[in-house]
Amino acid sequence: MLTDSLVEDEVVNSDYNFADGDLSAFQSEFSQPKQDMGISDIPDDLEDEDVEQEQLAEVEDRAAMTRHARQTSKFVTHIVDSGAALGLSLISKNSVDSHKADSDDLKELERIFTEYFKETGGNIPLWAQLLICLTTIYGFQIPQALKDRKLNLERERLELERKKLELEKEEFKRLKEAELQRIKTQQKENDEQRKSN
Amino acid sequence: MNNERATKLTILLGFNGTGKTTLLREVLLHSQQRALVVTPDDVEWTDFPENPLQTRSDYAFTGIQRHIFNPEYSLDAIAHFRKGILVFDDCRSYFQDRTDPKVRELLIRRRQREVDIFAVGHGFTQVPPVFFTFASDYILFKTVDNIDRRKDCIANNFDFIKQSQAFVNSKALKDPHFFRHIKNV
Repeated sequence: MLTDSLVEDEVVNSDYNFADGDLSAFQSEFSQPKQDMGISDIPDDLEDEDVEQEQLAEVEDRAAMTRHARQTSKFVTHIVDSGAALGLSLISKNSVDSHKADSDDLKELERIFTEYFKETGGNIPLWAQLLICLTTIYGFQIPQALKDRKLNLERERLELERKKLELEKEEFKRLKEAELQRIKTQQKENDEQRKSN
Repeated sequence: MNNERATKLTILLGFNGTGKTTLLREVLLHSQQRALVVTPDDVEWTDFPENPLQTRSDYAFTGIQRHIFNPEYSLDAIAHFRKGILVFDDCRSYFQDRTDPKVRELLIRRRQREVDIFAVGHGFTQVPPVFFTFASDYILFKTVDNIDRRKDCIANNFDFIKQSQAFVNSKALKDPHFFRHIKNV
């Protein structure tokens, strides 16, 4: 492509420091030691563990709340995405997957839900999550199940009717053959009677 | 002879599936430094131990560990990390455009703390502007967002980086794992 070659030419002629598909210069530099600032791995400005237990408990509480908010938001995001995709697919008659949000949108939605649940302290209990989940998975299938049931009953009825018609057809055939036989016998008797007369 | 180098702040950008995490893992494993990978959730980097960074002993680790970002305390906790590599994976998930001043301080003080930093995102707009201000290196895989939105904070080489984005994207049509390393001199 013309545009590709233009882009390549511009880059090849540049004086910038770069490498394509190759990190060896970067890694070589990266493997050199950093300027030693005479510090320790463990920060001096952190208090000892026993002193900060109280603060830690507080932090842990907040962390636990954030974890709950995150878990709840994951759950809600999934439910919203599945529910909305299913609803849209019922309208469009496309597949459910074609209406699902992409991963970036889901992450953003999840992030906003997390903030919301943290702000409101909203935490859906596990039993309620399970109930919502079951309702979403199976509940949405109820209209389809009812439709399928109607079709299956209709199919059974038509099958019975077909069998009944088959039997009637057999019976009709049998009667027709008997009647033909009777007529033949009658004709034969008539012929014999005519001859004897 | 003095072989000591300055600490690095590397911006690693690439769309899903381009190979940026694989490349980053290689860099970390070969670096012979300890590394702390900060991730937005618990589904990434699961092969490394989780570190809550809540006690002094949590900072005494070696090798690679991950920390799941918690907005309640992570920024303060990360500020205590020193002598190693700090990776902000998918940093848009936990840093907003209006970045906390603590992040700015973290970037400025990286030399004193002997910390190399990687900021990882799907594109230019997925990494907060303050990282571009202090970037020493870029590693660009295919990205699809608009680099012009970061024009104000990319002080050096903006035009070249923009050209490089177009170049890498054109190469990625044939090789989705194609990347370019740019030293931001």
